Amino acid sequence: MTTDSRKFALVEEEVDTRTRVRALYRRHRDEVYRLALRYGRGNPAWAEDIVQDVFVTLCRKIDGLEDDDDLGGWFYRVTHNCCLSRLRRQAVAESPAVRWLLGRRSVSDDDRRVEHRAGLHEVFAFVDALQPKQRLAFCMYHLDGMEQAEIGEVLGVSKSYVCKLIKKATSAIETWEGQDGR
Amino acid sequence: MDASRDLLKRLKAADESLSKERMSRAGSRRVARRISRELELRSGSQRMGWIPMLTFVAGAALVLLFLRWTTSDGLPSQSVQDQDPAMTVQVTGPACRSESNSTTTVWGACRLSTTGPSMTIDTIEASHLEVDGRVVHLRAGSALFDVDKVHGDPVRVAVPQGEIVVVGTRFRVIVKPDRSEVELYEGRLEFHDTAGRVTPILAGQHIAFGVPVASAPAPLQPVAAPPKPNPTPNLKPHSEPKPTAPALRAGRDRAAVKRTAPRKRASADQPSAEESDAGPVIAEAERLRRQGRYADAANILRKALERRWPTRTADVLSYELGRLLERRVRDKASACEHWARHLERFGNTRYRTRIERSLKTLACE
Repeated sequence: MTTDSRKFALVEEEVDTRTRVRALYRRHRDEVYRLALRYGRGNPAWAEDIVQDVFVTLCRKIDGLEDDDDLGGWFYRVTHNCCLSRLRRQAVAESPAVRWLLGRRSVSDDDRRVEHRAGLHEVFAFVDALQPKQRLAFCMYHLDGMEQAEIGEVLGVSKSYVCKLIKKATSAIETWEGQDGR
Repeated sequence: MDASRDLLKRLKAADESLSKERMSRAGSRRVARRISRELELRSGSQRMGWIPMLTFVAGAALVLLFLRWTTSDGLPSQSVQDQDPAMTVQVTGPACRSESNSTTTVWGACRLSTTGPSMTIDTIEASHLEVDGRVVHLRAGSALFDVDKVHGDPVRVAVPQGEIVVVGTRFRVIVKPDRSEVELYEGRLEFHDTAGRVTPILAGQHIAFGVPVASAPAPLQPVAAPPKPNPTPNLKPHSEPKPTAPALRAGRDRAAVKRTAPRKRASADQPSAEESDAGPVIAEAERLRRQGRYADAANILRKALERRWPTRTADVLSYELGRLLERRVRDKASACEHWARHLERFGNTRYRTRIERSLKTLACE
């Protein structure tokens, strides 16, 4: 193969990749955004960041993905993993020690303002009491109606661990309700 | 419980309301920009995909160059030059006379121990030897060399007919007015004659040069009688050169050399020229041994022993066969049987002590 034809093949491949990414973005962005919005407690900026993370991951992994029509599961999993990572980072950033060290006010204050505006505060307040993984497992189980085994596959944990996560989340909600007097 | 259900209902309703929301146009554009930047970066990294490979190849080449630089003969020749002034020669021996200037010259029965390169040289009474750096001139007499593995320039033993290039070995050199002889016990040597021809010498070979019959390696080739034996404190009495011994593989210890039988005994049982030529047998056995074909080597020796040999040659061949069976073939029964037959056949063999030790080790009945 000559250098010109090699260059041409490379350009052709690049164009093909761009077209694929564009098509996938158009098709899956709303689905990703919806999931991100749920875990971001209705915060659009947070959800947009997640969408960006998911599609950047897609750009890096697209060569290994073959059937573009069957990538719903892949997007679902990657979105959950991105949300989990971000929630964990956020939990660390919101810890009192880190806030004291960085001299910052609580990160969730901005979020709460958003929740109030959207009227979602009451609904999502109890979710704050859950750990990131518990939150995801609980939502996947109760909102998406997924089986425990499927949740385990998405989160990369065993079915029994998922069961434990959901139970802990449920008991945490009950405790939270008791404390709140509802 | 009802409160939990109610909460779940409200959560589902909130989730449904959220699912109706769409990304803002500004947010969508921002994400699209980020994605196209990522795609550009990706294609750029694809185009530059050869850079890591090039870096790896360059690194590997550097490592190879460094290794070659540190191990090649080119650089050490510099270090050898630096090393030679640091070379120390220690001369001992009651019947030894020595002179040290830029070179060390000894007469008589001496033991020379050198460092850098590390070697030990034992000379006999009538010897005259001169150490000049890595070149040893044996002017007359006989010397036993024990040279450790040499890095860089090899040690050279200069004789009137040429020089012997040493890498790491144990051998004896005898210089006579008309010719020189070398008997190699271990390792490998090369003889470079004055005409520039190179003759490799293998372990067990005994060659003479300066006479037409022995200009090439001739293992076990009988050579003329050495000068009259001169017992010295360093060498056992009657241990003057005994070139006819078919030293297929002499032991690693010095005692093996010292115990070599005097030439007189061998000549008393002198076989015909055809019978005494065990060289091909030994060479073949040695070749097979080097290839790891120990059973074949043992068979060669076994067949050879069926022929008629001088007692000493047969003794050595049989001893070598026993060692092969014991240490390489690891056939305990055959080894035991062979050692018993050996003792029976050769009686007071010079290997008696070793064989008895082997019999004990093997726990032969």
